[in-house]
Amino acid sequence: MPKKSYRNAINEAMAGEMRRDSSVILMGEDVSGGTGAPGEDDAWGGVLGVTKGLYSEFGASRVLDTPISEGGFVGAAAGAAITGLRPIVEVMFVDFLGVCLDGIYNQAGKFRYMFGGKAETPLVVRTMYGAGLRAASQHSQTLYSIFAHVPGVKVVVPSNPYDAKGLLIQAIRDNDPVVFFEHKMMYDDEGDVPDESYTIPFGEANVLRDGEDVTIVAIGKMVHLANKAAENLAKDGISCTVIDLRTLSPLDEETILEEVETTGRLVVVDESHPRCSVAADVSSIVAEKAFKSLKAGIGKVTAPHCPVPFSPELEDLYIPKIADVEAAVRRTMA
Amino acid sequence: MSAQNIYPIVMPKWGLSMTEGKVVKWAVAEGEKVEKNQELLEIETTKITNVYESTKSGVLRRQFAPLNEDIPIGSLLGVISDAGIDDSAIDAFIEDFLANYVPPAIDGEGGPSPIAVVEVDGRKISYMRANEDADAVPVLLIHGFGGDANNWVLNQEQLARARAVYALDLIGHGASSKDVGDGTINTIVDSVAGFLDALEIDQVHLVGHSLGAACAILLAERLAQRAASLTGIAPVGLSEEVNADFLAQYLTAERRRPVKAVLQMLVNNPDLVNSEMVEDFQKYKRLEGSTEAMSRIASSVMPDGKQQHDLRPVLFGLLCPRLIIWGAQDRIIDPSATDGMPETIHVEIVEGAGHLPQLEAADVVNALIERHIEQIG
Amino acid sequence: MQLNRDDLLKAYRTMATARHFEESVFENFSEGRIPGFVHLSAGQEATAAGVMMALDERDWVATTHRGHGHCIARGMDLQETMDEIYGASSGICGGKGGSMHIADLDKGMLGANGIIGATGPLAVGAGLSAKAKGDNGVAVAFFGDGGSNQGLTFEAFNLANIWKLPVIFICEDNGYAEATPSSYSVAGTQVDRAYGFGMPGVEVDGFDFFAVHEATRDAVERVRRGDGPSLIHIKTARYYGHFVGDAQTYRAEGEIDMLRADKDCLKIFREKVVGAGLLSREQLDEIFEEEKERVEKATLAAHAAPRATKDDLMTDVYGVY
Repeated sequence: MPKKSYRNAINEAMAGEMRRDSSVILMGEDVSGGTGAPGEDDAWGGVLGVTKGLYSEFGASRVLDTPISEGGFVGAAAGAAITGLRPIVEVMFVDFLGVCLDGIYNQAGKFRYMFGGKAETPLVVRTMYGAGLRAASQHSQTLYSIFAHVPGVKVVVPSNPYDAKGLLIQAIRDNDPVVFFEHKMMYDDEGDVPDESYTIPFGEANVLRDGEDVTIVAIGKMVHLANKAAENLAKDGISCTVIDLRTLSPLDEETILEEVETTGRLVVVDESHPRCSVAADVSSIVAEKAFKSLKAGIGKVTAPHCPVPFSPELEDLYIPKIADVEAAVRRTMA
Repeated sequence: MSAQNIYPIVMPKWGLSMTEGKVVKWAVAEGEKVEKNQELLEIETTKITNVYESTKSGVLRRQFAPLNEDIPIGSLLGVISDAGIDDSAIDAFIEDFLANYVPPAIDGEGGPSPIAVVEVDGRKISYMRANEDADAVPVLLIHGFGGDANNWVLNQEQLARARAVYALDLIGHGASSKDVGDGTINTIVDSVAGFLDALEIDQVHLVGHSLGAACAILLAERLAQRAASLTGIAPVGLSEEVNADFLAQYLTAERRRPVKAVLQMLVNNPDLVNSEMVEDFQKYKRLEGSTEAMSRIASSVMPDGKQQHDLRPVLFGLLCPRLIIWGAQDRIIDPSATDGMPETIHVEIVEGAGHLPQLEAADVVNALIERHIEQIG
Repeated sequence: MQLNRDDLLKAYRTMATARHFEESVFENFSEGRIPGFVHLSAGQEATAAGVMMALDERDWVATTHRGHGHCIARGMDLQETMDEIYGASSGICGGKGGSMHIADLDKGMLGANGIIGATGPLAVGAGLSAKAKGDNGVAVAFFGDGGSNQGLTFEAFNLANIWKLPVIFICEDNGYAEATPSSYSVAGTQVDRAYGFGMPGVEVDGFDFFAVHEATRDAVERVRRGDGPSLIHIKTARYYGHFVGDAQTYRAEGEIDMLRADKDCLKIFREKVVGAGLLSREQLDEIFEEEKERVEKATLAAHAAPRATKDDLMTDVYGVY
């Protein structure tokens, strides 16, 4: 299988779907980068080059550079989605969703229900999340729990290039609004990605490792920490199951519960803040539905409850580490 | 005692794509006696977890490799020696081994890629090759329904000591084109015959599994003198029955748990099926066109859960030496299909194996195939 | 295109239905038969009829929380619309939307909206779809004087103009955003705002069906040509409060009586067409009574309509996987 980066896998998913279905359009700030400028038209292809080449192939009527106007174009995408298009909107950083939340959670996310099941809203909002780029408080957050909280909005957090392509194709073909989270530190990660088209269904977690002692549930970039921690712990004879949730809404409760029932211990790893987070949510589901199989208190590894700091020293302290996961697992074994 | 009676145990290379593996479990404690072919340890690779049997008899002196760590192929896992050798000699042996150990080249750094693609009748056929430059009559491994070349992960390299061994992905499978035309067995056989022609392979030892074995039987008939021998592992076409539940679930299962359950039906020991194998099979099933290809083949070859073709007359009429291998615990096609075989066909029932004896009892199956082939040359 | 006699009859009938509908909702809400809260458009019927009669089937309309009249004028089923206001399962949205989120995509109605300022971007999106489809469809965004002050509305103006989209922005200004008068809350004029974004804007008398209709027809013609968006500022007034139950103490004494007496768009319409000898008083009276009866019948049916049940709660949330 050919090796491709996370960035290329995402680009390939969009290009493939735009070729397959003429109602798929892409809009966002600098997704072409340079539309109407005196120099090159397709100068940027997104601020980190994820949409590069799409403008050249599909033209200005399907790849729309937007003004810096997230509220306007996210709302417009919601309107386009219920009137026959399949828009993919790039909101550069998830932090910016503060100025355009309405289009997602009051409009797109509610049409189907409010309109008695008669509306389909095939909208994908792609957005970057996560710390590590020294981008500080307003460009580094991990805000998926806000969207997972809202019924009607699907939330997808791919952890690797293969999943990114298959989940994005599924998101584009899906008839409900999807917020698709891309970790900005993972764009250069490489992995096996088939050239062919394929979809990964939503609500189906991936079990990366089968273990006997502790179940580690992880999201997005944290999956790699969880895996590495599990490898290290195995040397000491602690065997961990690692679950990559893949989608937070819908959530694969069944796999979480089944694996916890096998191991009797749970650690959740989430780059988000601890309060009202997916980590808290998964913990509560397990506490509620698998209490009797638990042999120890649930462990949570999250960022602290403070904004993402700028100083590299502070940001490094902020981001969860492999050692944190190992320590949390050991605590459940103590 | 001479140093010749100290033996290293090294990380084996199971399959062409294996670069490293993990020791999951030792079955023998340090200082315990071990016999040749006794289970020594368990190794996990990205493709499969399998038992490693000792190649020597003696005493296990050292469990050198740490558990559950990625270890490159060829690296030292442990040491076996004859009884009565000093610990210091063992230490010296280990020191010497490590000093002379050269890590293997990693994929893409030197040497041709084991995976190649050839075009046959406008379709891409992906295949893996081992020892391609050898002169002896080569072997072609043909996997079964829903499988791929990786089904031979424990066989291809092992059979390639003296000859080239090719393992292809049938059309509709693996990384080959998903276009299977009318999905009939003849179309599949056409493409395998085309594959041999494209690679300019004249004489060939055919080894097929399940549906691949049916293909091998039909191909042997077509190739006539070019077929040097035939090995069929649990072939389709020798009985009417096939596990209809398996077929139905194999085609429709999408989610992790049902996929795992259906893959477990293929083997005798369900622990062999780990989450990684499940995800690999799901990856294949998610590819555009793969499910349609499988359905088309199934409805042509095994409509309504019954085998459509009776290949017994063809098999019985072949002139080349024939070996049929069957797992005693096969739950997909019952081994009773071998009842009433003429004596000219060599039949071997392998205990402790299900429908995939080449994976579950790889050493036994490899030895059987090798003996079968070597008696011809 | 000149309106013929049938068009005039239709216009009056639409305004009459809308008026009776709101009177019925007022009465039944006051008597506790309708849940939640409702925002009535009585007094603003000329806008509903005047705008909708300039549109056709391929067009899209995103409307506000004060949208009953627009729904009726757009041809949504009267009974299903009434049932929805009552939260009945026979409502057009199965009782899940209600007055503030009533929609009918088959009729090009993108819904009433509980969020002030949300309609502009939605219409921009519908304009993108129309342009992609190439059917010369037009998207209309209604917003009030309140919505005119939301940033989203300005963002929508900008997007529609830079992409030359077939969008008509209609500021249906009834003088009050909740209790705050537009004289206090709106800086500059709506028309100047339109020009600021490079699109034409006109101000029209919202009590005059003909003025509204003509302005909309002109805008539709321009927009269908591909010349980009337009804005219409309709100055009108509501008879009822922001919601039913609003004591409206912020309004001037006698303001509403004056509006009902002198600024009733139905009366103004009658005088014009009867004065010009186009229609007779008797014809119009008959239509008024017919629509009253139709709305009464729909009201009684809504009282008896089936209620949504537990089984309806969790449907239409996610697709089935």
